[in-house]
Amino acid sequence: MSEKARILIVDDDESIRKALTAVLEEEGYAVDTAQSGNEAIKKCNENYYNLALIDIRLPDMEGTKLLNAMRQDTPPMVKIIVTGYPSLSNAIEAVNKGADAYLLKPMVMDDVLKTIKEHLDKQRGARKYSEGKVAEFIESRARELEAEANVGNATQ
Amino acid sequence: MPPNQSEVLVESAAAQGKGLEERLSALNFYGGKLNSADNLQQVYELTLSAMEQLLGFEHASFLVKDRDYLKVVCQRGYTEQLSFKLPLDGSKKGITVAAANKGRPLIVDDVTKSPEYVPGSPEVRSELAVPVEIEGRTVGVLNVENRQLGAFDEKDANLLQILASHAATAISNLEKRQEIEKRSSQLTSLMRSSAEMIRSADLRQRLQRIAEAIEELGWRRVVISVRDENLQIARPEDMVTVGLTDEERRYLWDKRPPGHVWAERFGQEFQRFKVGEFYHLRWSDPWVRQKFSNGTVDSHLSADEMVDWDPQDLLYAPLKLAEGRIVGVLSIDDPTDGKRPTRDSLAPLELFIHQAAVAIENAKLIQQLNSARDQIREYAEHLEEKVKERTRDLKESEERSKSILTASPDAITVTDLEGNIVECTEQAWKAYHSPSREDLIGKNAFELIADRDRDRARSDMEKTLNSGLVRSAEYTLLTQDGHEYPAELSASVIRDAMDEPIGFVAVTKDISDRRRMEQQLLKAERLAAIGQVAAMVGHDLRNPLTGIAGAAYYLKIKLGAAMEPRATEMVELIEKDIEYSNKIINDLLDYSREIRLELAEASPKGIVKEALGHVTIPENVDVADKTKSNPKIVVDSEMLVRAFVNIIRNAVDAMPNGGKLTISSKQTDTDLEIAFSDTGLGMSEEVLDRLWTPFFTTKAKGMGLGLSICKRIVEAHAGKILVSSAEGKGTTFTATFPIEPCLSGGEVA
Repeated sequence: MSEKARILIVDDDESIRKALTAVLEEEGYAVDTAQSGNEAIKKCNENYYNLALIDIRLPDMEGTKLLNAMRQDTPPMVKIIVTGYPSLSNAIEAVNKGADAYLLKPMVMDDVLKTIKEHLDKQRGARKYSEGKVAEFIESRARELEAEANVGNATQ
Repeated sequence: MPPNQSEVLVESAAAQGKGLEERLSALNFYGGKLNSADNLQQVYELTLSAMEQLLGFEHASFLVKDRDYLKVVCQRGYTEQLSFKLPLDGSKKGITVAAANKGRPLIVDDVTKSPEYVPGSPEVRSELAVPVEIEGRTVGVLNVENRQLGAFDEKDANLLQILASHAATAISNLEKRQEIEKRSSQLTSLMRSSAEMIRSADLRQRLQRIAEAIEELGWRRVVISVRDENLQIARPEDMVTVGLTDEERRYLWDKRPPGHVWAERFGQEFQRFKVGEFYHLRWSDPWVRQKFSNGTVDSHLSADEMVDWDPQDLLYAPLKLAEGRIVGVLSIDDPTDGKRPTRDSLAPLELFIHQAAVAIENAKLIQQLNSARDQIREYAEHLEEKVKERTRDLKESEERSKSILTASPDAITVTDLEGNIVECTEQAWKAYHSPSREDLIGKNAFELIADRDRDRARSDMEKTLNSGLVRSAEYTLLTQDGHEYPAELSASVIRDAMDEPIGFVAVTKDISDRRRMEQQLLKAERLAAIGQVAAMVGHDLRNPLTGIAGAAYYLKIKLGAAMEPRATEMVELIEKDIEYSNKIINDLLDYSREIRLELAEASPKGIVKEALGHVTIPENVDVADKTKSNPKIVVDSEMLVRAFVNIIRNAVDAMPNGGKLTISSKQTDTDLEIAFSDTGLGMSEEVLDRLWTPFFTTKAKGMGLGLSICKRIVEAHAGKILVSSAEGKGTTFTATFPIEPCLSGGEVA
């Protein structure tokens, strides 16, 4: 893949944003950051991100709420909730609200990179599949049009 | 005899030449004799003897008036006994009858020529009859007869008149004497009756005696009836009778007039019939006849016994008390002398009227007295019963109070107004560490209060006296041996029956435990607050830790192999400390978080194995896991693992120089025990005391939350955790769980 995967970090903690940005850029991702839920929503509307790391607690809203508020793209953006309050109910809630994964603070960077990579791979596979589908559709449509044209020519 | 009359007589005798001297002396002689006669027969005989001496005659007789007749009571010179009776109405004539009726002497010179003469002896030619009179009342006739014509003259008549007056005087005297004797015998009988009456205990007997006494006084039938305030007779027994047949009694009872009739009979209308206390209703009175036409009991007197008493006459008297109240009625009938009563004849009866009235009243009083006495006796018995009952109640109440006092877990002390102890419960003397109750009694209560609280206690006592009550005052109390303990005291004033205060009763409660609990609670609250703060802090620390971790990671990947070995080591140090910081944060969060259990069946061995997997066991420590797989327990495995990790970590830490950790499980009844024994340093008493206290630690590292969390987790499973330790030998932690879950403390998610 030639194009860099785009990652949005949503966290109000500056050092987290900076440290994660440094690590992820070093790993070859295109990283953008948002300090609040609203900023995140705004950025999502303007740009496409393959993946978002969302802190569960944001100054203006709960991270789980943000999951629903962000634009639904195709293929869907991978949403990973980051929380400092580890508990099963927390995790279940996050997943129910549409999170693809769940990371605990303090984040162990190896784990973070691994999780991101896994989900991006999955996303790429899904895109390929849908790209294949589109190509197949276009091809079959083209054949149909061609056939129609042939029929038209014949009748003319 | 008047002297002038004598002179006449003397003169006449002298004129006749019949030995006047002799005749006068005979007259005098017999006059004296007659005066001393003992009975009527003597009077008659003496009179006839005198007539013989004075007059000389063939026949002489003494006739006495008997009701409507004249009858011969004594005779001389007749060959046969004269036994005729001459009616005084003259229907059968008779010179004597004429004399009696005329009230003067009658001289008949020739009987054959007299229309009054009743033929008797054939030789009789002349006759003289002189009436015998007492106070103008003719009681008899003296009669002489002679064979010669004109044998009697005026002088004879005069002499005989004098003799007749002598005889009359004698008869009168005898009558009076008889009357006196009768009275005397009545009096005797009265006195005897009175004595008997007094001796008779019961009313009926007494009334019976009275009735009998009245009978003796000359009344054949006597009825005494006891009456109530309405003059009614209550029962047949209240009617005492003498001389009545059973039939008559029944008749009287059946026909008894109602009370108001008797009230009327004693009323105004009947006043005119009063004779003394009695009412004598004469049948001759037309009003009486009309009023009492219903008829009464037939008389018991025969016709010839009646003098002037009418069998229909009524005679009764009220039995009246001095105050005037009528308590009974006396009715009498059939006078034995056949005569109507007079005030005099009834006088002795009046005594009985009063006696009977008093007897009836006394009987009533006695009856009342008796019933009052019975009532009093009954009341006394009742009272005794009451007293017994009351005593029993009191005793019960006392017992109850006593048992309440005894049962009270608090010390109860009773003091006088100065605070001197007069009574106390076992708890009280024990709380003072006294050897006995007697030891505490007599002491002043203020001695039991610590010096610094005494003045306050005194002023509280004053307040109690005013307000009657003091509640929950807290003082430091002393024991006999000087030990202090906090106590709460409530006291109230004891008052006597006059509402005067006489002392105090105080209830004191040792509040050491409560104080301790309060302190613990305070501590727990403080800890909870700390926990909350710690959680907040911990969470907030995670952000910078994430930043640090990210930064360190960047350095590691950016510089990588280019980094100096020392720099690489530093980065690793950063990462390690991040990890350790995170652990501290996790412990803090665990400690402050509510434990929510997620239960599932698990094997003890599995849990222990997982826990062991989380702990790095040094090489010099030997672990023997003897935990069995069964019985399975229903628990939150993740939680238990965390708890066991703490215990195992502690055990490992306790064996810095190596040793052996033995883990075993044992089923007891309904529980499962899991024991962790190390051969480490062991713990001192002091450490054991504070072992479960949060933030207590003997380690250089760590916050001392491990065992607290451990205990919380076990207890959330309704289990318990115990520790035994010997310094230098090792420590054993034993966690016990119910095999079937019965949870308390924690919540189940």
